[in-house]
Amino acid sequence: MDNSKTGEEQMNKLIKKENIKLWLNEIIKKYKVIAPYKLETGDFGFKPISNADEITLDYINPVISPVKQILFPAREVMLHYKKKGDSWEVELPKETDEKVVLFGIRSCDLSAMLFLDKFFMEGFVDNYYKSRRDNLITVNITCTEPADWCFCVCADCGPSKEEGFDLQLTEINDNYLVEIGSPAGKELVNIDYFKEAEESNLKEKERLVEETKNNKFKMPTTYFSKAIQNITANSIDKELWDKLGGRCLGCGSCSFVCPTCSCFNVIDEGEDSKGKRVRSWDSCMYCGFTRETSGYNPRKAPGDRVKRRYYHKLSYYYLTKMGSCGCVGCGRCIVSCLGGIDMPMVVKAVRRGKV
Amino acid sequence: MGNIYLPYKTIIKDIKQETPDTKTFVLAFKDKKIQENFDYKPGQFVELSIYGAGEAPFGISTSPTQKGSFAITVRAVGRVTRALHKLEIGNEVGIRGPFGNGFPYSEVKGKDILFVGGGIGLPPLRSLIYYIFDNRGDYKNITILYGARTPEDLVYKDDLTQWGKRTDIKLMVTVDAASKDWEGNVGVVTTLFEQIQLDVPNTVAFVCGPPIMIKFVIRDLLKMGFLEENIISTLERYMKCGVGKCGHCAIGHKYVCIDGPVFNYRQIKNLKEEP
Repeated sequence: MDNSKTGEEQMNKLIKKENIKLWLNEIIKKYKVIAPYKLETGDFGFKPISNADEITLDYINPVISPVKQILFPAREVMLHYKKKGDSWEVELPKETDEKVVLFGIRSCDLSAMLFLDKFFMEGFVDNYYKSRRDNLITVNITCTEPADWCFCVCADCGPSKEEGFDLQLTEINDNYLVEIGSPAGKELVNIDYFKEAEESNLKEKERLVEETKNNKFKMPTTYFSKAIQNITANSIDKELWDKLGGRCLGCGSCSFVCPTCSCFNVIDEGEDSKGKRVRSWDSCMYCGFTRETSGYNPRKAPGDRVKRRYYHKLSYYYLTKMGSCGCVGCGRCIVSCLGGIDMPMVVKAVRRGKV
Repeated sequence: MGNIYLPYKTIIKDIKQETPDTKTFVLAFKDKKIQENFDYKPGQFVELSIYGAGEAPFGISTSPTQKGSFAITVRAVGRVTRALHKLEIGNEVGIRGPFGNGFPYSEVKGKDILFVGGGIGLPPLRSLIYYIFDNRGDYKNITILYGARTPEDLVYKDDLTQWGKRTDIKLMVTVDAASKDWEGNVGVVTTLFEQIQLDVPNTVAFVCGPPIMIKFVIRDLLKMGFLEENIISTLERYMKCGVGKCGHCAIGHKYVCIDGPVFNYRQIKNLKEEP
């Protein structure tokens, strides 16, 4: 959707908490809605919903980012091929023009989406990503209760967004403040449950965000700047990378759970005369990621792969190319990495030059 | 804009056995319009699809000045290349491209050009060599040095014979290990440097070949006084998409597929990772 500001002053609305589900049910009539829900196991996930009662906005981020799951799924068919006489019939998968509202995501995941937008839709445009993105409208919520592993403030990606959203909700007492960031977002609030927000509501939101930033985060501050400097200058001893690499199990989960990681593999699946070309998530932490047919592998040592991953996330060159570092502070790598080589840990190590 | 991952139907027009494991495939798009509009720079590459086997990148070995078809030279080593070697004239493959930055052929106009090729590294250079032949007046002295392990491993033997007859260029060929009937030079390609005279400040060197050869050639060129910017090479990496998305071919902050495959030595040195 168009993320540019609508140009109108005071595009903020207020909706009573008790009306949120009524509003969502109105949205469901017109759009496919994907929203957070609680699984029987107690975990949380995102799924298409048919009734607002299915959702919960009081959730902990699922391990796979809903944004990545929708826009860049773990596995997708790129094309179908079929032998016909001497020739090959090749067909692209059908594109849908169904509008999707992704409801209730957090600022970190919205930030990740803006990052992926730039990556997949600038320069060579990735058609698969774009066709889904063109139909996606997001409603994100301001976090006032960050999880234990959250550090979005350090990545400047939360707990609330200043731009880039279609709609942004902030819980204020008995209401939600609804900030409108795009025409597509405005379209969603075009019904009766809303009243104009006042200056005081916005002030209260700002106070809440400041309070959250100052008091609610349990992760120690992640000082990116020195890490960016050391990584860009390539001044970190190989020994340190090898130490970090020694803790890597090569499982690839850091890449899969990272909402800004976008590397993929492509393979043909099927019989000789008929099949499909499929792409699936890949990880630079896999030994085979750079292995060439000759057997030569430029990144054979696990330490070289850890270095690669963090060079991509934090070097100044990528930073200038992408406009931000490749981390939104969601903390998923902290939860997932069994070796404990997550973003805050590596940042700390490369700042100090030791583990 | 069309889908960047969609290959176009291409027919194998000719196949030439270059060495026991290497063949040149002459290709033309089935759709004449696409073929007519297929414009590329020497040094660029295409992604070739053999459905069922997969897709792989190959440097184009013909010059864009030759219209109507283009060629790639491929050694059979992996899944896609072995499947390609089984195909015959008239068979269909998929092609996407051209991709990559290509050689700076305009920027080096008016210069002396030195080509140093090793083994299967000659094909991408061949594209530029023929481009320069077709625009011979734009460039000064041309020297081509080519080495392979054995006479059997030399690609483009017919081309080499023809180039050897040309009086407007200098060609020297060498092999690491000679056979009985080999009458040419013996030794690695760097040994040829002793036999040539170069106007180093006015020469740009294009170097393609196996990593070990590139390493020693660059070392010697630097010793001769070549500026790092005037040594131009190509890098290779395992690659999937060819358009800067899949992430496999990244070296430091560069992607071989969109920032390369052509880099000068100064750029290669600044990659922050082993090239």
